[in-house]
Amino acid sequence: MKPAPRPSRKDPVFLTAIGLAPVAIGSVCLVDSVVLGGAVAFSALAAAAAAPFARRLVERPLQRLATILVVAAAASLWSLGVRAVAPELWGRLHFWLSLAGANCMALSAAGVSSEDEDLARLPGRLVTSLLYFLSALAIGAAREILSTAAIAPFFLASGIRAGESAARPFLRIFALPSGGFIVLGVGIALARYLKRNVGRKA
Amino acid sequence: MSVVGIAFLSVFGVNALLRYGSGTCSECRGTHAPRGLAGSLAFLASALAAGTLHGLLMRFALRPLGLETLDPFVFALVSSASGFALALGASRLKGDFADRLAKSLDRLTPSCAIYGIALAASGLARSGSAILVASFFGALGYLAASAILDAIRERLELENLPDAFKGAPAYFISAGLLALAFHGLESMLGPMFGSLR
Repeated sequence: MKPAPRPSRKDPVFLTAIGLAPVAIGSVCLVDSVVLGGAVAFSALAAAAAAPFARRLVERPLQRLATILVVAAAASLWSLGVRAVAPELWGRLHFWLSLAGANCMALSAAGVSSEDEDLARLPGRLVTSLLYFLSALAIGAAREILSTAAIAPFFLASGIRAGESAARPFLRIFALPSGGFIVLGVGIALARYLKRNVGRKA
Repeated sequence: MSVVGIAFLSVFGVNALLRYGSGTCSECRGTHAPRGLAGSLAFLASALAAGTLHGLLMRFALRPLGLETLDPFVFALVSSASGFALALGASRLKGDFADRLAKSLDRLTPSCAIYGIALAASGLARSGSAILVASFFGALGYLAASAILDAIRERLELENLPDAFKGAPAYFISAGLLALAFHGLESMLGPMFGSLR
């Protein structure tokens, strides 16, 4: 029996999965995923933009610290914006927002974003961030539908439904942190299955 | 939430599962959980130092001033400073073990696992001593969970799963089921330790 290959640090799906993990746990509904997915996309973009400058302007021993501080500043900025626009939402998601920022800090420190980064690659990173944001939305929407059997329109406070799901749950497991991992795992498997089947037909 | 809740749900549920799914987050450049006595000691020391400093800063500076949004930035500074100080201290010691300790400390500094522990400790424990206890047990819980999850991960790689589920999907789904079990344990044991707050 052939064991599954170990995920590569350069594999974009793998990297997306890393970024999605805290978002998947924290996003109980669509609005949550907008906030958390946006936080990671924004921080990752900041890391991609900061890495080439850090390499050119900062001495080598301090490059990692400089990138971390830029990402941390981006995460703080996003958190500040969320708090200004929606204080209740910020109160509920503060922990996950901070952790998503830390996730980006750890990734940028790992050199994932800085090793091969160049400013010319920034548009590509922007597209990746947008696709990542859409993936986060899909996870939030799937969890909201599965936990409440309904979904609120995009700009309505679907966080209320997350509260309702605790009182009148449809499938309560999907409103718990563990539900986020299950949705993420099934989502990746589904994407792989569709990619293989669509690829074969094409 | 109780300190047991921190260990079981926040630390295990967030960071260990994150490591389980990703394999890179426990150490900033490594692909494995802290291993050996030196790695474990470095992780415990970093989590304890960063968690306690972060918790005290949150309690006495950021919260009273309404600056909680600066949390990630402050943590980056605190963890870098504490990691640098610990690594400097370890590098002054002599011997192979001290070298391994210093290298492990250098790699761990911005780890999101440590940040998760610090966040949980400062957010869920209020007093100074409870933050210290929460940081320590959070780090200990993370090490235990990493060892358990590594064993399960190795076992999963030998299973005959459908192609689409091999690798990350199987890890995430089994991690979700484990988190569910720990959530049940936390609900059962948590109230007994609630007074630690």
